[in-house]
Amino acid sequence: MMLRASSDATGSATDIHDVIADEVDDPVTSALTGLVDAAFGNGDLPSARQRVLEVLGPEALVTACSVIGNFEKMNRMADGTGLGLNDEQMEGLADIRSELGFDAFIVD
Amino acid sequence: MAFEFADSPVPVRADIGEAQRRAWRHLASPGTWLTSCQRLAIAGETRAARSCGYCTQRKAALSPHAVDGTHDSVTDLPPEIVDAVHRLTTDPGRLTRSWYEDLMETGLPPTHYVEILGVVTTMVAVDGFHLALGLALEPLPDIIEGEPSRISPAGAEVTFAWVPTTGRHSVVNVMSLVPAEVEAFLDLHGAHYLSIPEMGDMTVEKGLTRPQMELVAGRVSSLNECFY
Repeated sequence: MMLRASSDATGSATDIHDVIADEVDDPVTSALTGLVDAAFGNGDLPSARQRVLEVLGPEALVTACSVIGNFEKMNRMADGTGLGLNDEQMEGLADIRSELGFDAFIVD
Repeated sequence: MAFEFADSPVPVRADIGEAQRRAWRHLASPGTWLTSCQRLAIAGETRAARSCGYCTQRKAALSPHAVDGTHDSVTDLPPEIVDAVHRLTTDPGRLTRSWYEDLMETGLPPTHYVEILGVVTTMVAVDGFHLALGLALEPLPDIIEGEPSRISPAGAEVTFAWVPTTGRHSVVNVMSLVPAEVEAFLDLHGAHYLSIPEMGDMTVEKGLTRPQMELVAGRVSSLNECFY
């Protein structure tokens, strides 16, 4: 939801589908998703860092790493407490959930 | 001084180091329900979980119940606490309400569980940053002596999560049963990501544009299979 809202607000071409895409054409998006993947053990982390440095610079690398740490934390806060989406959030995300196939994970 | 990032290949923003130093002081201090010794033991166990063989096997299994074993524990914490810390660290996407309820039936109060979660998630954020940037992990801090505050918020109820909470349905309030952990969470959140005022600004930039930050956040959440 924040990705869509911020992309709309800034006119960014960042695509919601890039969140789960295996291959991404845009070099900036590809560098960032490659860094996250490598941090999760899917790829060579030093090479992924170098790519972010080359494409986006040192400040971006630091922020990307801090956001990775932050969402490792947020995800555990949500999953460790059974936090779900409220009705308003579910409604607002209906199209994205459907497009990205997340509805398959909903348990009644 | 901790968190000087002398081995960093790139300059690290001062506010990140300052927030991580405060997080370390919070970890080492007596908590709301846990002693500083217990908090640091949980911190050490969180680190140990990353290389735990049993956790690795269980994460790879179709179901976390499909594998029997023993955690590579580095503390004398009770086994049910060790298991909770390791699962929160290595396989959070497959935690269930029944898992939480079983844990409560061992006699662990929800207050203590929320504080454990606060310690685990602080460790995951700080170590996650270091590992992603290729930095050596910061040594755990020394114990700060004192007594737990045992402060309970009024009116906490089970409403939008397994654990009792106060306030509206939000991730910000999910640890509200232990207000000190919410304060610590927001402090680190502001430096690692965005402060609460910045959250409403879709054009904010901190080395990355807001959409780029959200792309990273979304990718992490996807890989963790967290759909909040």
